[in-house]
Amino acid sequence: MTEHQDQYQDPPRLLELEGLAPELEASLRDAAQDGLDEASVTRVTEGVMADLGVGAAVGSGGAGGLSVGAKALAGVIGVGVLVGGVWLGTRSDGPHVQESAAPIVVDVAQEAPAPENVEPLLEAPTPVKPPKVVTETARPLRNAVPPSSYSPSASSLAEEHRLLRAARGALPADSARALALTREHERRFPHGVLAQEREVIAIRSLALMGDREAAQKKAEGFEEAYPKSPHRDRVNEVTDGGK
Amino acid sequence: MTAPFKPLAAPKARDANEAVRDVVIHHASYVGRSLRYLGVPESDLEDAAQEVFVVVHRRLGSFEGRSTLRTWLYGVCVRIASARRRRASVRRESVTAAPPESATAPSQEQDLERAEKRRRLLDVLDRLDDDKRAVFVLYEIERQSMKDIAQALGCPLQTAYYRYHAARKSVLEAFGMEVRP
Repeated sequence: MTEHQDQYQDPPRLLELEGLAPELEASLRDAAQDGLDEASVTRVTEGVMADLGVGAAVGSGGAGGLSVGAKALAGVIGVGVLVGGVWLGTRSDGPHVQESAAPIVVDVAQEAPAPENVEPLLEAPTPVKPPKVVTETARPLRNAVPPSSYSPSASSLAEEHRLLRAARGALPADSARALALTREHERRFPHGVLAQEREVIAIRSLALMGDREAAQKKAEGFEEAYPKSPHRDRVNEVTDGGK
Repeated sequence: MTAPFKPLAAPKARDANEAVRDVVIHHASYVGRSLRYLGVPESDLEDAAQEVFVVVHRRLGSFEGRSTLRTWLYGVCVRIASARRRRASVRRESVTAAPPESATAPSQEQDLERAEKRRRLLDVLDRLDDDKRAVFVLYEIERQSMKDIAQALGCPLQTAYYRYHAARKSVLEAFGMEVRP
């Protein structure tokens, strides 16, 4: 098979070539259709919603098409994002697909994988001793904006994810353990990608433990640190219902 | 008597939650596909896809709109897949001689054929380094343009071309085809 390699134009894709090995052709054709199935998409969606602490049961939205509102929004700004610009941050105008833009650098550094040994807190067979119920000072979230040099790796994000999943899983039965896990997360990942999610779980834990004053103070600190957070509604629910 | 809670000002939660869900639903299928062919083990696929969206959600404030969201997502997929592959490789080495995990068990002959084709292509792609694999997968399977791929990966366009041609040669040779200039 002869190929003409033109440096300045995108070359023909393999499936456009004649004489391609049948096995390779079939593999590539199948691969193009090999996305996640509907059940997987649903699980991923629910997992993301849980990770972000976003309300789970809003409508029946399954793995179907975009809602009318989101489609309209996506049409305007070229990405499917939230009303109020929560995902966009400050950007609210249309897409800017520049022809010669510098490449986007996504700050997910390629670091050595995290050690496999799990923190004892996650595997403790004995219950964590509950802290005294004292008024917890709502420390100002000075770490809310991470230093510009902070580059979380995919492996540290996975660790954050595991810690907070365990914390969330401990609620509502063992809110003391959940709170301890959020403190562990704060110790290990002070500038963690999931810092907001951690705070929400901590606020909920305090409310469930009956420490309403601490939960309220922490909620106020959260609002000050993350005024545009999509989790504010969830924090409201927690402090309102004490659940 | 305890003081009443002062509620925080609440955005329109219902619309916001719907939009989060819609974005994930709209993009999850191809995110999973690209992660799969970028080498994420099948058992980690859904977890890795969740990571992609959490990272994107967190980083969207820095998204400057110089590319499409899809292009940006691919960049995140590539980095997460690379980290996951390294972790999976470490796990396999520590267990010694444990074979790579297979695709989900098919129940019918067609499913078995499809799984075998997938496995064959994945085995060939596994022999590529991460950089070449990423360009090949994004070009041939995800059908992105070279310009968008270079943008997603943060490399010069010429580098993307070079990596693609190197990967393409390796893949064709692995399937028994000779490449003549």
